[in-house]
Amino acid sequence: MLLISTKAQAWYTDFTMAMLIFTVALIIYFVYTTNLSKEEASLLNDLTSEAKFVSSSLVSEGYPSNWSSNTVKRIGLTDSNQKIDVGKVLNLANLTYNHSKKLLGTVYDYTLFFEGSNGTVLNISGFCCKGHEKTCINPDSACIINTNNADIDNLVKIDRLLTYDNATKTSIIRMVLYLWS
Amino acid sequence: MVIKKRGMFFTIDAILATSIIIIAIILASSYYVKETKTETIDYMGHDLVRVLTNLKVNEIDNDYVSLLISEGNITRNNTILEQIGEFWSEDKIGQASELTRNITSSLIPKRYGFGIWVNDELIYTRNIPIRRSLVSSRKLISGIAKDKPVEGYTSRVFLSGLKEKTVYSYIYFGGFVGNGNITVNITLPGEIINITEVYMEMAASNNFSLLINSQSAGSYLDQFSDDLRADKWYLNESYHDLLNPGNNQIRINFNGSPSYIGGGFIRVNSVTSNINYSEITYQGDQVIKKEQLPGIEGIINLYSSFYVPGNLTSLQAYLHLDSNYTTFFNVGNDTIYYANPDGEAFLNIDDAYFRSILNYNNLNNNTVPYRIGLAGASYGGFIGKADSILVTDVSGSMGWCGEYSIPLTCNYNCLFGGSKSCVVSDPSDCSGNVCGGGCFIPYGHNLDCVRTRLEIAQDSGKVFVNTILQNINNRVGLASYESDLDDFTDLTNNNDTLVADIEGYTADGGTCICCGIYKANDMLPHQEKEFIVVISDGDANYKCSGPGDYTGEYDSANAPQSAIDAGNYSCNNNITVFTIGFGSDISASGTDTLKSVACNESLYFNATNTSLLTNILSNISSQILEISYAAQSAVSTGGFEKSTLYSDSYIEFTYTPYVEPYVYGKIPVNFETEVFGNYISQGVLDIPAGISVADAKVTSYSGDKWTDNVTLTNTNTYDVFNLSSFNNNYTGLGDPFLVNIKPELIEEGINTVTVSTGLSLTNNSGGSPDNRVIYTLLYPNSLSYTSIAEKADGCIWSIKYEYGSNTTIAVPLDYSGSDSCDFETGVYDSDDSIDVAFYSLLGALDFDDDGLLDLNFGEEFLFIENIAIAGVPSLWGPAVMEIRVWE
Repeated sequence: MLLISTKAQAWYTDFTMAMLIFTVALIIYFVYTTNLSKEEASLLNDLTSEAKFVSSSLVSEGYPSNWSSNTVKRIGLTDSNQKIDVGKVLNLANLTYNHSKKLLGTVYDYTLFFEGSNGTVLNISGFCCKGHEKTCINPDSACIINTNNADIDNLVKIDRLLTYDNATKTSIIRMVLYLWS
Repeated sequence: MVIKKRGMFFTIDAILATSIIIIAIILASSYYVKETKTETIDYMGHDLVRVLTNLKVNEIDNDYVSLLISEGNITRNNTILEQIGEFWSEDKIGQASELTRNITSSLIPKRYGFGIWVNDELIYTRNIPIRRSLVSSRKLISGIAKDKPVEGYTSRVFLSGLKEKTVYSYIYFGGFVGNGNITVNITLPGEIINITEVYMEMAASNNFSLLINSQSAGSYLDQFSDDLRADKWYLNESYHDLLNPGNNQIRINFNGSPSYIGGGFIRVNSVTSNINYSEITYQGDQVIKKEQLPGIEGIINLYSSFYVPGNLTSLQAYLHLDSNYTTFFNVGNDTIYYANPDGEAFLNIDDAYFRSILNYNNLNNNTVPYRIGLAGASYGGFIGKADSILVTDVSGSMGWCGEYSIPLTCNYNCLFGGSKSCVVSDPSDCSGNVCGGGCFIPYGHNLDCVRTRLEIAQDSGKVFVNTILQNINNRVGLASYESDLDDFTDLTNNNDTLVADIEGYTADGGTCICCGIYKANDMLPHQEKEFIVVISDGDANYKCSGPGDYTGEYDSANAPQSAIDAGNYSCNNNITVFTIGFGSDISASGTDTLKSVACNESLYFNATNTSLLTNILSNISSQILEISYAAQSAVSTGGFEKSTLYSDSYIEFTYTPYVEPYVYGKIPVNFETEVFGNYISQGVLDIPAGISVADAKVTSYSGDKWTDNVTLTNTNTYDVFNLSSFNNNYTGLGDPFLVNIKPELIEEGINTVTVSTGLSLTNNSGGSPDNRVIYTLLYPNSLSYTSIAEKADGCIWSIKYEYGSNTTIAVPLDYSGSDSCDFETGVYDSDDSIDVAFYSLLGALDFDDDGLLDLNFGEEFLFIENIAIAGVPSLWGPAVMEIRVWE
């Protein structure tokens, strides 16, 4: 007489089904996460390129070279000696955030401010920062930059070196630009 | 089925659990991806270079820099990058490193590595290992080099002016100035300190005495019978005092006839205190130049030229004449004046009149011949002289028939009976069925010979003699040859003698062309215009051993070369040799021989058709006759009244110069080359490198011929002057003694100048061995600033001159130190910028680089100024500054 255990047969079937389902789930997961990573990498490259472009524009004279908020075609914050032109900085402050984004040629949000050699945010004739309202808080006085407040997915930071004439001497300062999506 | 339900529940649980796990993982993954942040250092190095390049040490708000300045470690307002480089060049690596660290440490985030290198030598680095990217920026910094001074002295020494100036005043005679006593005016500076030299060089036709301002200045002997040679004299210093500042009159009184000067000049070297003295008068940007004409008392016979070194804007002339003969004034090939002034006349020829006749464009930058003389019946009294030898072949073949009766008829019997006749041009044509039809049997032709070749030659020779002797001063000689010299008749102007001798020719023997030519050579006195005309009806087959041998030796192989040698020998003796190939028996090689015997191929004539001989000899004799008249020398044959061209006559032209005669910053220095020393006449003009030419003119002693061609050869060959461009017949043209060479044609290094003279387009040869080039070079009176040297003190210089003298000069003039320098041995302090500058300037004035100055000056004659500039950055480098930033 041949004895066949039905219990063992049932367990084997269940195990096979479970492994199949688990394998499918793993495949779905890896496909999804891989695609997501590629998208993020592409977005980051785009952000980096735009950040470079925007920073280069900002360390130039802009166009026209003596631009005002009414005549500006491209925003630049330095004079012909590549020193910060305070008048242009204040002109930038007077532009609306969305208008400034258009002039800088970016669709991403940004925040711009200047740091001294000791890392403190500089107040240049009342200008502390320019950018998204959630990161650039009380731009005219408090000089508080909070990049954690925004709903930031990807973020690029670029430091550029410039010179700045204070009352008697010239300092080397950093212009910090955040660009994010 | 309980068992089956249990299994199903287990499967559903597994699916649920798996789904929950997957969702949880996905949510966690999404959250993780959203955390992406990045920073880029791409611009960090670039910005740092830019900022450090623009920011100067006096501007930067940095305590350490202020300290370095206050302590005197930083003395120049460099940029930060330059200052780092300067510390490096001075080997102050510690200060360079600390300066770099102090300025940059707070600018570069701590997590980044950073370093700066100069020429790959590390100045400062923040030692953080390289994990990811590294960016590098470089900048070239000029003016620094390791262990070299970054600043010092640079100097420039220049000759700012002359305290006294040596002026070389020239008066040039034209190509032919005569005939009679001659007066010229020479203008000297108004403020003469002393006259150092008076030099005369001229082809005078006779001995003469010299008067300066109506006072005797000695007698001078004509040293050469050859008109192409120039006599040279230095006036005794005792006569220098006869010359006055300003205008001076010099008169040449010849001791008899002929009395002319075939080119030449007088040069007076004077030292003047008027350093601005110039013979050139400016009117705005125009130059006014007055060409003073020589005074001639005797027979006005002037051949000369003028040169307009620019765009001619105005031309006028004043002729003061005294003549009772038709007098003419030709410029180029155009006659400006042609009339009999009937005594003394004052002729003003204005610009409008000149402009109506001359095309000024043809005169610009060109040597233009002009002539003043007497024309018509008056000129008929002046004739030249030419000697000619007619060398005639009287070999046996000359006895052959040279001319048949015309028409020459050829007669034939016809094949089928009857006869036929037809006209042929030569007996050799009387063959075959030349008359046509079936008439192949010639029975003869009329061989009536009218003249043998010899008889044609005799008749033609008589024409030759008759034509040439139309000028009673001309002479003709005869030489006839066969196997040796057959006969000869010495030079004579007796027509009857010559005709009788020609009629005595008989034909016999071989052909010894050289015998006839060598004899003709020996019959000519080698003094006047001389010609040999050789006639041959066959190939040479007898040779000569050389000049003086007319005996002839049979050698048909070498006889042609012997004939050529005889021809060349004659040509080299300035004898013009014509040759004529006569009759149809001469071979192609025989023709080539005769072409080579002639002085050039254009002097060979083909008379294969014997009837042409008379015409050819007639043309040659006419040409010789013309040449004998065409020579410039005029001789009064008696009864001729004196005519005068006064020395206040002049030609004045105004022009816009192509090359400024005097250029700021340049010293004009006059030079004369050595005489060419050969009759070719060819000489060399050697121009030093880097020196420009302001003016150059070739002298040409042409005797009583014309200077007809001047060429310049350097990397190209230029036809500088060609008289035939004015007219192929030179008789009415002027004769330049000076031919100007356009400065732009002259190159650095060797320039070869060749001069030829002639009587006509086809009758020309070399020129005088005394020709030379007189030229002006523009030397820089300063050179550019020296390179940086440590000091600028000066020195006492010892300088030797090319002509043996020497001097010492303190440079700068107020130098009171004890340093001694020597230009010849090159001893000077190379760390002293003034010494370096002065040595360089002397080098530029040492034209042949032998350590001896060619320009003779001394401290007392020269202002020397120097500019020494301190604190001048060096021009070392550049050094490469590199900044690297890395993560």
